Amino acid sequence: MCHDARESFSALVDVSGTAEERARCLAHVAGCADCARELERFRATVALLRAVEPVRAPAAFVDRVLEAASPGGRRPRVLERVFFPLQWKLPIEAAALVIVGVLVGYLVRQSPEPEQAPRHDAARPAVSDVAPPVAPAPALVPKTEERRAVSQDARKAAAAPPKSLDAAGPVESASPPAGKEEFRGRESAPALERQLEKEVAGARATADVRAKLASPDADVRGILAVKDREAARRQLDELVGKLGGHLERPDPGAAVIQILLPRAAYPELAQGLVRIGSWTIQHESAELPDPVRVNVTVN
Amino acid sequence: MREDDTPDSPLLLARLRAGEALAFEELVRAYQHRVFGVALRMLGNGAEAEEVAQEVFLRIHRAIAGFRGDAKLSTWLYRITSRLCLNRLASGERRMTRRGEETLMRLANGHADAATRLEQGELEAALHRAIAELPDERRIVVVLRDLEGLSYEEIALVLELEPGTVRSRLHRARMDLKDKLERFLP
Repeated sequence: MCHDARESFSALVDVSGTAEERARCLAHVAGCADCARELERFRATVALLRAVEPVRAPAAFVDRVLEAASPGGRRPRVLERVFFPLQWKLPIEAAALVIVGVLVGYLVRQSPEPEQAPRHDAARPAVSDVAPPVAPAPALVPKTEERRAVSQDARKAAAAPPKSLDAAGPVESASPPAGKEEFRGRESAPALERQLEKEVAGARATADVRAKLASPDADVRGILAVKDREAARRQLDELVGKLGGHLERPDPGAAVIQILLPRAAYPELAQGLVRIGSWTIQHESAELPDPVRVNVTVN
Repeated sequence: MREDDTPDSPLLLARLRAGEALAFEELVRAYQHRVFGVALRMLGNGAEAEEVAQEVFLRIHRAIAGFRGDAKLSTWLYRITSRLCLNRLASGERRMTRRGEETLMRLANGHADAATRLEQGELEAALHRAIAELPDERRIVVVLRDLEGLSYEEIALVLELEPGTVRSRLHRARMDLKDKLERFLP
């Protein structure tokens, strides 16, 4: 009987087995001092076991497991990832450094730093030998003797169709050559502004000469600077029609447009020209005839 | 570890199966002490225990894709640990290094303060010696039940034994320990 009861001690301690088994055991222990003492010692033994401090894995155990589990057998450290294998990564990294250095040097040379502007200005004459940055007008304006001859030709041309003027090239011919654009890219902002002013002045001078050549007898002569020449031409056409005048050279390709309109309508034309673009009067007769001839160089 | 990633959660298992490195790290972190603890109790030697514990996790890592999930992940971990330990204990070379209580004693004494170290040291040394002297098939049951807190059913799954066998071996082991620790008991 004691043997059977002691076999059920684990069932009692762990509350396992059947309730009937545990009840039988308890009933026996209640009446058996030896078994009661044995049960007490049994419980104490189990309590000792359960009181054992849990063991902790060594430090860095996780790292060692992860290293062993990684595809290469171990996880490489950060520096190893960067530099190893040396025979592969060192040349690649050296080449990358050289490339970055070259790029940085190139960008520094290309950047328009303020202190570099004087150096560029000083270097401009050398560059201008290849592509003159300014003064397209002198190139287009004939010398004194030539001007006279051209002036005579122009008088003839005034009566002739305007294609001769167009054939000479539009105002855009004053635009700088490609080589100059490249030069301008390296200029500082003030230098660019100066150059731009000179170019505009040159273009205006060219247009002025053309206007003179084309219509020396106009009562009013001026330059209409616009963004969209075609749109300006259409607006001008409408305006002149509204004022009762007409365009003497309305063909689309003409740079200089001759307008003939009643003298009374001239003030309104002048106001309309200002609305269309930047209207600069180069010549205006002191006494306007009726009708008035107005030459507009659309620029 | 994520909130819903308890060691036995389906989510962690899915992440492990997907080969997520972080999931494996979480698993190792969650179970390292338990796996190492079982190995140390069974083998009695820290270096050997670490070797076995590491092998356990590596086997899990290699085989996780094929784990069907019929049992809990923890059951699988304990099963591999138990098998590796029992196999190692059964091997001839292992018997040469069988005297492993020293490591356990050092571990046990490390937790006691100076005043009680002597008494506790003696008790714990006796306890660990008694555990170490248990037959392997009984020791593993005691370790899993009383030190790791597994249920009879879980132990039966881990060791692939009948629950009755587990109960019987556990009872025998406890009775052995009670006899060996008699002088420390009331």
